[in-house]
Amino acid sequence: MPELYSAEVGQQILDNYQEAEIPEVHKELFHWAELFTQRSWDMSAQDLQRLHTYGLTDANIVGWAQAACLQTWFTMGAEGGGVPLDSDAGMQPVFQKPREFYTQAPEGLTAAEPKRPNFHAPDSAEAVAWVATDGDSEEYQQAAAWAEARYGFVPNLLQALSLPPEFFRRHTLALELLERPQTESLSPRQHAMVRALVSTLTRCQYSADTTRRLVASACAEPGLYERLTEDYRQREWAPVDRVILDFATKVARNAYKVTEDDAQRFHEVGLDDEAYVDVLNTVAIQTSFDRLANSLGVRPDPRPLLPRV
Amino acid sequence: MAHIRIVNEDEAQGQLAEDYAYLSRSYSNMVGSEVTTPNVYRTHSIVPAYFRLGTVTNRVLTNDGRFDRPSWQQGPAPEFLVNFAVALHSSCYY
Repeated sequence: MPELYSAEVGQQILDNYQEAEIPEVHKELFHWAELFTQRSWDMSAQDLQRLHTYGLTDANIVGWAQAACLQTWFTMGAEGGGVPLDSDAGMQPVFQKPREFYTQAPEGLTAAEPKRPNFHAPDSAEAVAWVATDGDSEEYQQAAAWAEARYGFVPNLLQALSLPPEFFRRHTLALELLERPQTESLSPRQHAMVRALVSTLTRCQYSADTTRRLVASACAEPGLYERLTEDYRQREWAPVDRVILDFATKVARNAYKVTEDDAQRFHEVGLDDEAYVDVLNTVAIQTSFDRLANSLGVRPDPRPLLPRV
Repeated sequence: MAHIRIVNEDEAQGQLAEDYAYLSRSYSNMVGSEVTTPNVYRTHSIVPAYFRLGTVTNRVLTNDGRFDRPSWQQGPAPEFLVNFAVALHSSCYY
């Protein structure tokens, strides 16, 4: 990362970014990222309008949202995998605190308890999101053709990401990976359960219909979606399902609290490391897309986002 | 030690080996000296499809290793600052 701040200002940001000696627009960025990370369901069109007053364009804001989406995946991968810091990759720890500071922190250091969906529809009946779209770029045209062939329509989420367009090749790959488990260790039923649970935790109306239909198509188990989305902790589950759901919840809410005990619990119910990585990535991709949709006010698609074949 | 089994570059084959080599080159270009692939990518190494997503993500962020995406450092609040801010608000140790 280019050097923007002195060490002293960097410490001020870590202590309280609102009081740090940084430009006001940077404080707005930190506030926006805080909402994106911790309460994306509370974001509104007014949040974006306030950013416009600082000279930020819709393209800037969509760029922020896409960068935040990618960083969410990286962060969950790092914390979920428990990988050590790099000694030779030119990366330094930012917070200067041991991992135990996070894993032993009180529950809810960054995440709040979900209560209800909180969707703010775009102002215009025709708008797909709170931001402008641009269908002219070559990258968008390629992504739209890919989506038409795969889903039979162009999802509102892809349309909302057309400013700027360079992230499409990553997003289309991530959407493909999200369609089904990537290992033999995780069943389609378990994969669908994880996606439905995560979209409840993120209170993402954009994904709700898709994950409901995915659960229904993955298994003929009446009431499963409701059991997942109406506080699964109060219901009876097979031990293997409970381990997966508890882990998915921890990653989606507090990835910094994951420890090696979580991987051990997978092993105790007969799941392997491949299943662990499959669940971790399903949570990370679903969460990052849900936050992206919440932050840009993307209107739900007319039908579920599932491949035609 | 990671929480799970890792396939490092000395064991990697096929696409995984190519992805490791690309990421090492990309970060070496960024820091100006030869470095190995950062550990954040290694979590996904036992499921190469997810490791591939990390490689494509790096390609997008760096414009295929050229580090010349204009929006990365421009604007009243540059995009790269978002990555730091999200990590901050995620309480990310790494």
